[in-house]
Amino acid sequence: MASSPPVMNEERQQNQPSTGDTMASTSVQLTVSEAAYTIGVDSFTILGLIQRGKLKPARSPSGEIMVPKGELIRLIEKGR
Amino acid sequence: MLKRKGQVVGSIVPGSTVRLTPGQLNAYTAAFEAISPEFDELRQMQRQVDKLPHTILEQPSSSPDTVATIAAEGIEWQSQAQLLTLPKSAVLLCRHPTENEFAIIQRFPADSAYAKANGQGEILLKGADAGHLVGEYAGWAQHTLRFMASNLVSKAQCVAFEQFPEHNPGRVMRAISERCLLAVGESLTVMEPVRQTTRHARGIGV
Repeated sequence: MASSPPVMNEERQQNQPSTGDTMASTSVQLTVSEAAYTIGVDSFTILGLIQRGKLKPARSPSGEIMVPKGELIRLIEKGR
Repeated sequence: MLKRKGQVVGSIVPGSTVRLTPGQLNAYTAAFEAISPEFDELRQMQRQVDKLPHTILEQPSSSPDTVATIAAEGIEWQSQAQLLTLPKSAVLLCRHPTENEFAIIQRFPADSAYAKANGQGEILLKGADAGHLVGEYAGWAQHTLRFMASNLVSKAQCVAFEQFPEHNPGRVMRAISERCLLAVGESLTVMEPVRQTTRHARGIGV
């Protein structure tokens, strides 16, 4: 299935206070499909990574799973 | 004809038993549109997961000279069967080249940021019994699909409650929840609230 890039909402900020991360963008939260697009995988994989404890999710007020951008950066940097 | 607050109560949407008014149907359509591409992906995935227990029987092992190999954790695993085809990856049952060990490996495209950091092959499960391993993975995949369905409901809820607060978004969400749960092989049994009737006992209490 061809997928178009999801529109990122740069205004969504993490509810939790920053834990000393100096990159302002790391506090941005992405939806599951946005997170999947960002690291070149699919939504199923992102949810699997969350289930296996490799990604720590956050929740939007409606309960939707959100992935802090900092978590994605940590995941990619940890693998290198 | 059934009416509620002056509107015809008649529309039933796919995968749900909830009757919606025209206003609620508009809310349902808008909320469902927000999750439609992912819902299609969910259904497509569920069809594959349903077939997983039979996959190992239907796909004969490749002959040694045609077998594809996947590198994971420093081992060149031999691909035995493709279990799932995801939009941007594949899940395969693989065999250790020299030992009696099997692994469920997810293969990512080389150009994805995840593969560049973690390698193209990632071992999800390992074990000596291929059939048992596939069964275990099927349970795990089913759990992920339920998680996916529940997340879609939360996403749709945001649209229903924010954009259509006057159209009983709770009822709209019940219809969407039923459809999403049905897509992953579950049914939502919501009991209608029992109407409490107050008994005014006079004399001897009942």
